[in-house]
Amino acid sequence: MSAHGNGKHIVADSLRGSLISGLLFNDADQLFITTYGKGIWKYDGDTFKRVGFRELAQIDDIYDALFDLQGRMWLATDNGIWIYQPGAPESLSHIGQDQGLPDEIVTQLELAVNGDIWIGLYDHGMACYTIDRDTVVSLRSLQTSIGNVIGLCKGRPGEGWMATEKSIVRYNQDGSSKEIKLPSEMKDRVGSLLYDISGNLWVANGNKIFVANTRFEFTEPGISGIQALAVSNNQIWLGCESGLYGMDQQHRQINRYLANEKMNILSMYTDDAGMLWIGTFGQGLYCFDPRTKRHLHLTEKNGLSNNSILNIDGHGETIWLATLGGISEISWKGNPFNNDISITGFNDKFDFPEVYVYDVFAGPDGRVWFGTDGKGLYVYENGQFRFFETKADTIAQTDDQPKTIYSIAAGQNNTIWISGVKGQILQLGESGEILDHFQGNQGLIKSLVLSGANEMLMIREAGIHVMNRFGQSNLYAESSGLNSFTPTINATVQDKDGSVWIADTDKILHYIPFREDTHQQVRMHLLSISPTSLLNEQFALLKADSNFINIRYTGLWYQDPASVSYRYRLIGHDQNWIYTQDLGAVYSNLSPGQYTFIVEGSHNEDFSNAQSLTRQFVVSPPFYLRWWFITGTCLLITWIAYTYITARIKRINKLHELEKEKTMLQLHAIQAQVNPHFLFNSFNTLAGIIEENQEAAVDYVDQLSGFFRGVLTHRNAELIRLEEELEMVRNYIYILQKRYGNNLRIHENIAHAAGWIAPLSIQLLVENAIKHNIVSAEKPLSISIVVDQEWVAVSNPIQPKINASTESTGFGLSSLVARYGYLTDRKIEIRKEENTFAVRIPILYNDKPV
Amino acid sequence: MIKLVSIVLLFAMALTKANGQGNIFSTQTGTISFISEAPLEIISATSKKMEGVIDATALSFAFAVGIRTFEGFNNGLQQQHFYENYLETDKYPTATYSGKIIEHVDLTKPGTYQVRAKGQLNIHGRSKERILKVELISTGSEIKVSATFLVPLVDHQIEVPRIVNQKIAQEISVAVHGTLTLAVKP
Repeated sequence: MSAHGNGKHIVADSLRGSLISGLLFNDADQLFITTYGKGIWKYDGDTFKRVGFRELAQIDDIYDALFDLQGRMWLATDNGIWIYQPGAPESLSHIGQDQGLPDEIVTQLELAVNGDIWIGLYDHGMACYTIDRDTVVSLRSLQTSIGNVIGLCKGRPGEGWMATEKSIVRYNQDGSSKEIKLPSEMKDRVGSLLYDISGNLWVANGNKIFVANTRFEFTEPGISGIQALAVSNNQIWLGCESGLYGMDQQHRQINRYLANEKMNILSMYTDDAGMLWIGTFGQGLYCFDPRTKRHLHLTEKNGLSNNSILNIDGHGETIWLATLGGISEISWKGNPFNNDISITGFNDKFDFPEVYVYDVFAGPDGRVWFGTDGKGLYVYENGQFRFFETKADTIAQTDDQPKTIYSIAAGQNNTIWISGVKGQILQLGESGEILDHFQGNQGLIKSLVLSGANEMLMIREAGIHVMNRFGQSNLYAESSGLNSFTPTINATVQDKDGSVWIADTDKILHYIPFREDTHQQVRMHLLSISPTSLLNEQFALLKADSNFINIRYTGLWYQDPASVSYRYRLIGHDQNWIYTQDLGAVYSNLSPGQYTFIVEGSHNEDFSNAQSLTRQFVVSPPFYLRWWFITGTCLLITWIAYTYITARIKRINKLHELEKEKTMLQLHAIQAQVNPHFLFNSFNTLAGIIEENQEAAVDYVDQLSGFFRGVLTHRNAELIRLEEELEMVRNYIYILQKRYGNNLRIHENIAHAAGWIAPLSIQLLVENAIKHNIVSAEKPLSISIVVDQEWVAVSNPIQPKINASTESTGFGLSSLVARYGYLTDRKIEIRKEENTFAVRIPILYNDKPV
Repeated sequence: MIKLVSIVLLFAMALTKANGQGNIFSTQTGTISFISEAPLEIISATSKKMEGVIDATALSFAFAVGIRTFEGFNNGLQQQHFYENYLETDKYPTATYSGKIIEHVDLTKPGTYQVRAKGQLNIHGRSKERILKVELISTGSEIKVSATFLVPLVDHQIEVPRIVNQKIAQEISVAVHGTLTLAVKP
């Protein structure tokens, strides 16, 4: 056995295997557990100990238990009732057959409001222990065939409900009791009984639960065509098509009265003296004294406006008749049977036309109201009879005057309620202003009547709408037993006790106002919600990418689960309420912002007092809309732009410089190539060759022109192919060798001739070598050109000229170095050792730059 | 049968021990009959081999009957179905009812007593607590027991195929009669 208390999980292995029949806390907050099989156990905060006080040790089976108002524990057992006082001093007393208990097997106990204990017995129905007389009395004995009492519960004050396996009995404080006819659907044994705060009786039957609305009591008098009701002399008077009947309130016995009079009764009224005034269809007015059974008959001959009287109401010794031909006022002094009745027709007195008047209502403030067919509402006040103008109001959203009024009833604070066509109900203030407006869509309102608890009952074809004085309304329809409900117009009456009798053709409903009940709400429950961060009711913060919101809810309204409807709204998203029968709402892709989700449930489509379920949350903006991201991005973009622009400027400057360098180099190359010395020497050589060998001269000129052509072709290019450069260098060397002969030795070692190189770079190095070194027979100059995969190396031994060349500016080599600085990361290597000068130029393999 | 007797005797002895000395009344030839009144068929059967003990001191009792001792039925096939399909006698060969008498009566004194017996009724292997009305007529040395009660099939999970629903009642009425004699004190 385990139990939950204050969130604590208590395990009681000692109770395992036995049925728990009761969990009781006394005033000292001690927990007692009664079992069916293992007696009574007390929890001492740590373990369960069996209570072994005297005979209690031998009692195993406890059917039911309770604490009475004195803090004593009552135990229902097979051996009568044991009353155990747990506190110091511990005591035990017994109620058995000797003490007047009709049966020793006690199955149920129920504490009544006044401290009495109701006792359910196995074989003898119900008994009661009365606290003020300290005795047990048998309240209601049952026939043994009905079975044992399996449930007892309190109903209205002074009322109890008792269930046996096969019956349900209502017991009243006055000693009367009534067995309730069980519906044919209740096939199984009755298992348990419960009476809720709203006056519903719940019955467990087999695997089903039944609910009965005890606010309404149905009587079928066996007469059809009930058209009017009145209460007088402890009788309910039924005005029927076939005449007048009286029904005993207690025993529901029906008697017919005035059987000799042929009367089709449409309306009835009981005056202050208890006289019954009866309005008929075509047969005029009767006055009937229920005590003496005397009667009086008045017709058009006596001055009535019309013989068909739809309604009667009055004050003191005056009544007003609403007839099919206007209004009549009847007044008398003392006893109406004393022939001093005066009848006044409003046709004559106020020139009121002979129209249909549906209802007359004598309000508690002295004003008398008349609802007419097509002429609107009239009021009779202080001898004045006038049309009562309603002031059109925004509440009703209509400018029309209500023309046809079927029913009138008093509201609070001298207001009245009127019902018109199409189920429209208006509450009117003293000067005709519309205070409230109620548009029922459940069909025509047949009558309006006030209960003793200031409830407005709107009797409709589909059911009865009860609006309490707080404006909460409740519809009792099919689920309350009002199926095929066809009420008769204005056939209602308020009883002295505040209850209301309502006629339904062949049935009579007795509405008994319940104690003030503000619990008539659909209870909203959350079934599931995602994201789960919305589970608790605190403000939830949702990420931008997880705002798919799925809420599932339900409204509990056990009286009639099918009647529950919902409305929900996501404030911040929905403009209006969404009305639905669905048990869920889904929202996705909510934009960042604050939202409040509200869902309400109602059992009658009136949400004005509905309980709501709310969840509040904020969908946070995505990271790309956060301030830090935006600022950061701006900064980043600025930085990138800045860097790019600076780099670009740098590059442009570099290109510019490169261009300048190139131009300078080209200029220099041209200068070098058109160096007068070079030309002079070349031409001298040529002159010498021409004489010796003309063919060689031609060849020399070819080489010379080839060299210059190369210079001219490539000087503007940034890079040229290595083969082309080598070709040009060979031309140049040829020319040089014609001049220097064997004094100039060139060693070419070309392993690989692919890739790109700056134009005239090798030529420049060869030229420099000749320019700066002695080339003579004594000291021949040998220049080596080595080409490998990556480099072109030009080296020569250092044999400096004694008078260093004055035309050398040193510009050539440094400009070449600078040019390579733009072209590649690889640097030109210049090595000057003791007797060797070597320069290595990188070969570029990238695609030729644009 | 020997097994059955021993169960009952063991029970009786346990009661005797618990109460020191007991006035044990017992029988082995009690009569128990049932009748199923269904719209299409009436089935009845009787066993004259019901065993029972009543401890008049402790007011406790135990009764048992072997299901296969029932005779009657309308035909042999029906009896076979009753044994094998509905009551599964191979698994649950006996029906028992044991418990206590609620009313505090002295059965050793001659007289007629209307009592209620509260106990576990075990049929088809399923127990159900029942309070049954029993008439006990004591002569001092003999107790005549008679009782009639209803056994709803659903209480004991006795499942009847839908096809024979109209032939077997949902509540079986049972009648018990027996004369228990006071055992000679050892």
